Amino acid sequence: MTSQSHSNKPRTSLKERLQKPGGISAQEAVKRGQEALNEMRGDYKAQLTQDIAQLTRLQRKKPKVYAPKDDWWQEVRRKLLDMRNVAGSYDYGLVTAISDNLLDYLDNVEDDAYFDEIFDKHISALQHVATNDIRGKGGPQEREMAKELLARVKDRKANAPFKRDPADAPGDEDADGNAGES
Amino acid sequence: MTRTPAVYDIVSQTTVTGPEFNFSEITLLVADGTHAFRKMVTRVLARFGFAAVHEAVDGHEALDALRHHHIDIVMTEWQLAHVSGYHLIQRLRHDPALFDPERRVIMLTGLTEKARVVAARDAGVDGFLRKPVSPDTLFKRIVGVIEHPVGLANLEAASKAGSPSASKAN
Repeated sequence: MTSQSHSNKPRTSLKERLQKPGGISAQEAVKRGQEALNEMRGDYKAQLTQDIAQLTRLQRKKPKVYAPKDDWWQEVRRKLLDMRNVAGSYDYGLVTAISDNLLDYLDNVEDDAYFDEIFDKHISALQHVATNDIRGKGGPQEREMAKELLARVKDRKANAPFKRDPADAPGDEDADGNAGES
Repeated sequence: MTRTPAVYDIVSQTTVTGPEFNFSEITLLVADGTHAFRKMVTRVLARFGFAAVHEAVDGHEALDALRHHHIDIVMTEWQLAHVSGYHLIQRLRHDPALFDPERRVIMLTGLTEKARVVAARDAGVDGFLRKPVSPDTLFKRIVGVIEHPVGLANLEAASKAGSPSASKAN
């Protein structure tokens, strides 16, 4: 944590402080922020490879018997949320979209016979993006790939049985927030 | 006749005005349990020129930072271990030891269901940002909440309307 001591000096308002001379333009601030992101991109790429490997390991550990919201489900969900939330900031928009789609599947379809196939397809898509360092929404091939994944999840949501108790629906799980550091 | 307080939008981007922005006397806290995200945001914010960018991995660390440092802007994820971002905001708005009418609060989260946005608004956040974020989005939202704080007005409106989110957390 950054250190800084308390000051008892009377403070001017935040707005006044923001407007003090010697600041930077909006354009310059955003440029500097983008430079910081660019410097961290290499670390992020390594992190992305690790995240995908971890997802693959988690897939192999899937419990044989379905249990709503078990530890496995929570762990996969947390990993996907982390990937979705960070990737887009580094211009890996496809990683965000693919993770979001798999989250949607995980949250809304259960006991699905196509689970392994769908999980595999999403991991393959993530590996394709990471290996080829595809930024933004990618090219025609990647757009087609993303479209197919979306359609597949949409189809399973419409056709797969959903038996989870509505009280267990995602989004209600932690008003207290139980996510640890990841 | 009692006038109903207005409820202000916390989601839409506000227009940033002014030729220059000086963050050198403004401090900030980023509370987020995801290491990669927290590091990314703090580094971008440091480049904007803030006087200090504090970090917290969970609700306890966030409260600790707020007790020991002067913090002007709090950016928090909803999902935090020990004390959630939502409860952190309720503490900031209701606990006399932590309350500061000048402090701005931004919910920066991946959980963006409408019910959460409404709960955050009624709890008194000044801005709500969906992850992932870009430097441009961060900049505009921070300047937006400094120039147009709405958290306390929304809290008052929610309180008058009897919203449970406007109440102090147990």
